[in-house]
Amino acid sequence: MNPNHPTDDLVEQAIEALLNTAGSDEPPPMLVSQVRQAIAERQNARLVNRPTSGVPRNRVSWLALAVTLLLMVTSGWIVGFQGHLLSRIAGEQSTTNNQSYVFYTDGSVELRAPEAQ
Amino acid sequence: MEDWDQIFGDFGPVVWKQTRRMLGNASDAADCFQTVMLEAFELSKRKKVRNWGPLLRRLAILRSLDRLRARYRERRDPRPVDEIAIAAKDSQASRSLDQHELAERLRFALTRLPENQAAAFSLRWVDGLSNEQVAERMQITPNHVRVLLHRARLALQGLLSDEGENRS
Repeated sequence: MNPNHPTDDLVEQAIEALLNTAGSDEPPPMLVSQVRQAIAERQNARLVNRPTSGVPRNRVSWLALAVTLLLMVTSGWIVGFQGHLLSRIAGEQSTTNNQSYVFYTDGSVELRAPEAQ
Repeated sequence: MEDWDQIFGDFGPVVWKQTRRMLGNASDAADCFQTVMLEAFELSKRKKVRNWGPLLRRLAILRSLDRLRARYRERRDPRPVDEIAIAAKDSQASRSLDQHELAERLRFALTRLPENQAAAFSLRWVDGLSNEQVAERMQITPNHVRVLLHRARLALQGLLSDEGENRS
């Protein structure tokens, strides 16, 4: 053990005592059998539950993926920046000279002249 | 898929020996043996295990320490470990003790050490690894291992002496 410590060191004695603990050096066969069986059961469970999804990279349809992404970006841009295409009338306010302001849901305002009689 | 028959054949006795030494009785060793093997299996599901020996030996030490802590949880000395170590420097309790009792005291004393000191000490002196191997297992530097071992030995000397005096 460590030469820096005297042989009658209590720690050394305790380590020796621990290393000399009586008992078999082999695990009981019954114990090994039980643990082995538990692992076998878990292995089988793992096979049943193994995920089957996922595609190798070389089999991914890159063209379809690119088109999908392009469509998503384009439609997002349309909805986000061209919202007036989908907007509706939110309200209307008349002025004293028979004109009226029309407010849309995208925030835009339109000034309408009085309709011809 | 791993060949568990071979793993049990190659490393089962090692794990058993470690847990039996650390825990001192067959019943606790059997529980710990089972815990270690099942934990190793779960680890192998998540990550490819290249070297089973070091993994199982380390798990055996760590889980044995866990079980010792649970066993001695209620037998705690409220003083900090450093204080016990200093107090014991002056005492000369290294009288002849029964081997079984001495081993049991060491088991209790290990539960009083900080986790990394207990692990380093057990890997070094119970598992019989070199400082470099302990460093590799614990993913720290060999110098750090030396520091941990020095502190652990000092604290254990205090704890063992203190325990002996308390009983006498």
